[in-house]
Amino acid sequence: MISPLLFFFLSLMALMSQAGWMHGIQIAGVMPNLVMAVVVSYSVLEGRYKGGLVGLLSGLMQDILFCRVWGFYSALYFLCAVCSASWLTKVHRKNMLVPLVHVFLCELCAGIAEYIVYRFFAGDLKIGLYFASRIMPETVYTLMWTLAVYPISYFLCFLTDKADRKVFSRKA
Amino acid sequence: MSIHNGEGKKPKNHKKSGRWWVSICLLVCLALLLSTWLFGQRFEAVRSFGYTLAKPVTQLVNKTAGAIEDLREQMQSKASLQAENDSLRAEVEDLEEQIRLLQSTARRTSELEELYQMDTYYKDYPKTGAQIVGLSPNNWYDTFVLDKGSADGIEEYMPVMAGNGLAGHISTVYENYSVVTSVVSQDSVIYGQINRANGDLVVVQGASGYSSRDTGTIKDDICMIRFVTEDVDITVGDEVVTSTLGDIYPPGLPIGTVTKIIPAGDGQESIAFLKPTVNLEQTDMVLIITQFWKEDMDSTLTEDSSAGEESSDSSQEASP
Repeated sequence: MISPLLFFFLSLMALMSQAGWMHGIQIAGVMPNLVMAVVVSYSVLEGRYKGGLVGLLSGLMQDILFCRVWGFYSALYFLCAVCSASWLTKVHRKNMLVPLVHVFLCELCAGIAEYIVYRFFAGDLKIGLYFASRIMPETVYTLMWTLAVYPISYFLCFLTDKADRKVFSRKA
Repeated sequence: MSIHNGEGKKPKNHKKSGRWWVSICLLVCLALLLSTWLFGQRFEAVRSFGYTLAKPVTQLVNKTAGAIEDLREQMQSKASLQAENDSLRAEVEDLEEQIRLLQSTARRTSELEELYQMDTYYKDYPKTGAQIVGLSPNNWYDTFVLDKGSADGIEEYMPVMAGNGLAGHISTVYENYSVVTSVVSQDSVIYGQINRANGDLVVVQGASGYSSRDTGTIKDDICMIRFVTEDVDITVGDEVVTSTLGDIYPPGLPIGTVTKIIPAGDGQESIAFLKPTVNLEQTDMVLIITQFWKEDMDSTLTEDSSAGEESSDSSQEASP
């Protein structure tokens, strides 16, 4: 049970980073969604339960800290985590393509969902513009960050798994 | 870590429970949405708890980001200092080049001023200016090349002045350039005179490459006077100028200053060494006297002086 806590902490750090210093690394006014990279990476490595839990809590924290109405990001990250853990399960997790494909799809879906919630319901129908100037750049930028986030997550999961096994063997 | 996970082969019950779990979570999210939408103000305590939970994480993130930013700034400042250093070096090189140019211009100006003074001082002698375009390849400076030749009216044996004294004479003339044998060349012999009232006449020889016995060194830029010790009254510091005896040089042109006198031969003779008035190493411009002393200038000067006397007489007559 170390890894969910650790990755919740990591996703919280990612969230705070997005709220802080990552504004300094914007490209064309777009910054990467580091929380998505962390949640999806963890889900791909640890499965739908742990991944879903981390996604739900991370989304909930984003809701609590930055949103007036809670539940949207909780559901979004939770669904992304569950879907990531449920698809391409037979591919070896060392393959970097797995998290990249998941992050790509999740980011696209999340971007479209955000557009619907924040723009479409407000009467802004220029989805093409948002897709070209926000959703796609953010997806690509997040993919680039995933290249760094996933190996770190893999290593941390390996360490926490080892620690969990030690605790379990002592108890046994 | 389910790296080799087999979630695809899970039993149906497990799948069912997974669906239930997902559904429950989504329902929770939906409930949250509705409840916060309807009763948002009642959740302020939870929000403040969230902020309390996030505060240390925010501080940690900000500190880390600050440290990374400081490091980046340090790296950048190092790079910018390096760039600034490079640009300043380039600027210093430019300024040094400008200083060299200015120094060269200043030297040239002072040289031209000296030539102008000499030109006004010897205003009776017809002269033309020329530039030194080449020096002797043996580095002794006993000959040098001027940019004027027979096309400019230059002829052999015309005297050449530079700075504030005699530099030599034209030894070879080509159409567009000419070669000057300097006063320090061993080929140069000048009839001189000690520049004093009733100064003795002497013969000034070029002594470039003269090997000094007492110092064991070779002197390049010197002239010498060999004389019978008892016949000539000469001391160190005396200035030697051209005399009226020669056919080439007009009288009164400074040749050099006596720097040293040493006994020579059987003791009856002495040698006086002269430092030339003209420093040939730092000379770029020269003046060539375009008339020969004995043939033309004598008569020209006589005519000029007589004309001057007549004009002064007429002016005296005209005045009351």
